[in-house]
Amino acid sequence: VKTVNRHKFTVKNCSGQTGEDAPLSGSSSAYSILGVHPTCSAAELKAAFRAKVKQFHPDVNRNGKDSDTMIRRVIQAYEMLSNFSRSEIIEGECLDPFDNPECEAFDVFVNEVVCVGQ
Amino acid sequence: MSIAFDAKGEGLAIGIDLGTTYSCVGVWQHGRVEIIANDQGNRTTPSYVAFTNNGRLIGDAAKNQVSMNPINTVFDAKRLIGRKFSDASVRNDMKLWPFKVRGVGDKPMIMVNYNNVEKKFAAEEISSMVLIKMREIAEAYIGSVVKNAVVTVPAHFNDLQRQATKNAGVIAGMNVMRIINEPTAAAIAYGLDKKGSTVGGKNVLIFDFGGGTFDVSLLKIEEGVFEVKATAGDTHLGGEDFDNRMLDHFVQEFKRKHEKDISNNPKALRRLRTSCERAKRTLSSTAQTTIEIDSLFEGTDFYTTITRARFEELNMDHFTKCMEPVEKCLRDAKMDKSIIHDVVLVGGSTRIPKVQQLLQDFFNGKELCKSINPDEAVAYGAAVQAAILGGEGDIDKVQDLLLLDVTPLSLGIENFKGQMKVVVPRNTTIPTKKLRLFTTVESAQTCIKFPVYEGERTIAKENRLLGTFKLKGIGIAEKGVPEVYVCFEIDANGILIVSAEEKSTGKKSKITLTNNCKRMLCNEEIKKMVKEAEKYKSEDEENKKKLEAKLVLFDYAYNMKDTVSNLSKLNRADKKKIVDAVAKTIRWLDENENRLAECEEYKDKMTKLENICIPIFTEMYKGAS
Repeated sequence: VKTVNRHKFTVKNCSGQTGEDAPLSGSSSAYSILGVHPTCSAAELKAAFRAKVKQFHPDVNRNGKDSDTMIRRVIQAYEMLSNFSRSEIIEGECLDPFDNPECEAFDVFVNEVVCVGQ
Repeated sequence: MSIAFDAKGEGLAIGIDLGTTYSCVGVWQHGRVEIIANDQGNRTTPSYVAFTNNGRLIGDAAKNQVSMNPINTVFDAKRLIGRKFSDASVRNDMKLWPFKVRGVGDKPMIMVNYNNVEKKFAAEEISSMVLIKMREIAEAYIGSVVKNAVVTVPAHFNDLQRQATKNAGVIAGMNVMRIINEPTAAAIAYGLDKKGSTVGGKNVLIFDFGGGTFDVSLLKIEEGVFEVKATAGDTHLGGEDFDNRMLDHFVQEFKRKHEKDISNNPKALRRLRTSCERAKRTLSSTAQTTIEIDSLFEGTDFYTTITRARFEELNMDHFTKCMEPVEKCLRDAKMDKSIIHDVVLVGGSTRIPKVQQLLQDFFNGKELCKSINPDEAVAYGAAVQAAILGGEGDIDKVQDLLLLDVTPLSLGIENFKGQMKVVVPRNTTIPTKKLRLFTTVESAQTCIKFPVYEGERTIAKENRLLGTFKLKGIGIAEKGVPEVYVCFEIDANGILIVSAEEKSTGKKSKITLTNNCKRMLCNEEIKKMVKEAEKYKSEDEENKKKLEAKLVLFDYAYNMKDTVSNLSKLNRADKKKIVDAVAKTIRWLDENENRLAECEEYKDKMTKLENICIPIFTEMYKGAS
């Protein structure tokens, strides 16, 4: 059934664009962001994370213009490598529509009210 | 010289714990945190504002007069801030408050009588008055102007409550450098206290149970990095709820014993409530205490006793409710309770033995950490964070310290099925930015609109609507072609900014969350409130001058009365002249007891009195010599 609704939207691309401004392409770039070798130990990984956080967090790095982007990348890289995924924690609650394959077909947002008269 | 100033030369930055019932302020100075006592010598200040015919009172002065003036003494602003008038919690609280609250739009406004005029205040304005008081306390101690502050909020405060708290700072004329979570601030106090004594990381659970809110945060502390792993809590549970239960209990008892209902008498309720608060504190160290109030209602005295067991029974459901967030926190952080190194108690309500016992039992008998001051830890941590953000040069001890906090509630959008679709899950480390790519579903579609929600329920409507997000002016194209990037950005304050950008046409159109909830203040309103706050402040100063002038006159009149009655040398006529003039002045002062006259009036009366007294005394002493 075709409607006259003109304010629906849908997800353009279900894979990929779920993270940062420029999503990490894989674990290799995550390692390079933290400046560690892929064979490093968990302790080394943690230490590298702490060092990077202290370097880039906006609390301490007030002058660096890119510190916001950098700190987010550092956090993302660390979470990725330490297998600490948030969506895993909130199981069943994290209905991330953008990672869900069915979303392409059904996740259409409807906004009839605003459309009236426009 | 170890006093450091921040780069902008705006003086020291302070840390303020803006509490529901009490507030506390601290500053980093001479290489450590100083918790600052107020003019009464107290290190915590009641979050009370009173409006009287003699001006405005904040803090101890306001709380001390509360039984005389219950309907114009405002407290609990934190229980209103950022909430809707139609919220169930607001409706319930209103029944317990002696002051009036009315809904303007859906925003709750507090109605008071100030200088014989009916005035209405937003919760932000009341909080701003408390902030001003805390700043003044700090300025008196430091000896210079304070512009910058870190203000704390409960970890479980939502976006609107955080924004409203920030606005309170703006109205107070301060630069709120950062909003930080109370349990995180307390963790800093704990971390500095324990610094050096640990090897490797520590998992710490902060149990922050205050006067009005309850928070649990789980942190990993390692090499100065304070990483919050999970947080949970209740923004409406605290010591005041225990007072309310006890109050209710005694109102019933009074009814039973004396067949009189005091529940419609604000003054009696207030006196009873004050006694309840005192009894509650006493019961943390003794098994039984008494309540003695003379002439509580219609001349009837109220004497009774309450045992700790009875108090615990009255509040048992509240106490057991506290353990749920602890469990949730551990679950979210994927940690077992056995790997928690320390359970730290923060907030006045953690002094209650039953709360401690339940918590200890939950952790299989583990000893609880009581080494930090439960009333001051939050302000302590806020002061440390203020020093870090102020970039003070000598902060060797804290230079290495860094907070990584999380967002307490999931953020998402409502889809067409009415479901909540999470974009930023709860307990995501902040700052964070989540980018999503959307497109149109019809050709030549130019507008997309969707509602942004906050909460954990799967049905969107059961969560809190933060606002409606709308993007207009999408370039005309085939369906599925425009690329609309929607960005959820949470800054280090935990405040959400939503924006969108359309890239397919090469045009960048940025939008921000438009709030249609009518309970947030717009910029215009804030500007108006800033002006009013300044006006109130100058009125306070004016009142202070008037009060001083009044006291000078008062002193002089009574001094003269005293002197004359002890003087035998004075002739009767002169004596009568002075006695009459003094009596007239005192009568005038009595008549104006409840009103402050202008400074000029007092000065005028003073001059008149002096013009009568001085010549007589001069003459008398001349005669004597």
